[in-house]
Amino acid sequence: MFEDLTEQELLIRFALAWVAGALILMLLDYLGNNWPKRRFRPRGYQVPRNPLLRPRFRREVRAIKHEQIRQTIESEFGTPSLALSAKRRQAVDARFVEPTAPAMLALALPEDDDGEGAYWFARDHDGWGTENRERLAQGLAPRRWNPITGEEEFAERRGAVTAWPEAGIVDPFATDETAELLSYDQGDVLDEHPWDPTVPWVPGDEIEYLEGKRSIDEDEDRSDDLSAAG
Amino acid sequence: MTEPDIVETVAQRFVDANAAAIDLDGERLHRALVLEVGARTHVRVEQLSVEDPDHFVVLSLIHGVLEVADTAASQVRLRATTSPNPTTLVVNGDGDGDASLLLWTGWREDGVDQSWLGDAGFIVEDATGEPDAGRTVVDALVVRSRRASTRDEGNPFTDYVVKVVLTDESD
Repeated sequence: MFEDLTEQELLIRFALAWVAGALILMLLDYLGNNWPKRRFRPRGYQVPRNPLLRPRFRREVRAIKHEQIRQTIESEFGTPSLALSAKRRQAVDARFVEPTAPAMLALALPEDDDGEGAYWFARDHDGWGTENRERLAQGLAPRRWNPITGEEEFAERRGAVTAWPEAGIVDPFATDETAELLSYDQGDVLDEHPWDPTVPWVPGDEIEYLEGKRSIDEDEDRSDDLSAAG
Repeated sequence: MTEPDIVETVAQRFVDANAAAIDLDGERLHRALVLEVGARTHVRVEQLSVEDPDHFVVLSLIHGVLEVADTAASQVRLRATTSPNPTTLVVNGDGDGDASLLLWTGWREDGVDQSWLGDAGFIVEDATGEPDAGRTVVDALVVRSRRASTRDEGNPFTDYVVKVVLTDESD
């Protein structure tokens, strides 16, 4: 059953066995990838094994992604250019421009303000948008999305007075009726206790809140609000 | 088990898109618009249609102030009921950079000025403007503000149409 092999013959057969095994594996690999009809189709970007080919590959992938970005910009702003052209600046400004004036409060008094903190909860106030009804019911500050800054804004609420913080909008033709929107002054207390929109407001407890008091339960609610707002 | 009906407000669409304009029912709906202006551009605002007198338009200038009616401010609100028709504002650029004019619309409801809430936005249409003496028209457009009305369910939108004409001194 066993032949008597010299040491040299044994080495040759050992090597041949490895070569044959490698060839069989390569054949199976080829068939697996190409038969029938190239059934192996990789998904996504396959990084070349050859490190010399990788820089070119990365450039190609980057070009594809940049093209996708350009298409997105073009569909959004009407220009595919990534250069800082006037139009491009316009597009950037439209979304990320900083407020041009410090946030000055232009507070609005409801016409039939009855002085009660729960005023906004007692009424189904569509003015804040239907999307804010649930937040109002939970005692959270109404919010809206500002297309100028691209940021979420929360309404200011002090007592029964609620309004969006306005960055100094002037009404040059204000009448007695509309002038009150700009002339209402809350006093220094607001500067000493800046309003935090993430803290839930409990109807009737607005004075305590302005003094900085907050219960443990409210802190728990605050974490929920932060995650929802994020 | 059936899925609950989810009514997505226009406001939510803007939030999702994180953009100042979205496509809605085949129309480009804006919540804010940027116009390029010169250092001394005249901005003529003419109200063409006011179905809801509670509407207003806000003009906000980057790099400068707007002068109108002995007032100079970077942000001016023109109410449908109180501002003269037409109203001309003069751009006074501060020279720090190219002046840009931001424009958006809003409405007053229950004594509170509102913008960027609920089913509201505006459509922009090209227009032609009449040149003033010694000034040429550089841009003209019609802003058609649309807002879902809570008062009249038969007519879901109220219109507030404003024409904006920008003119510069002729060379």
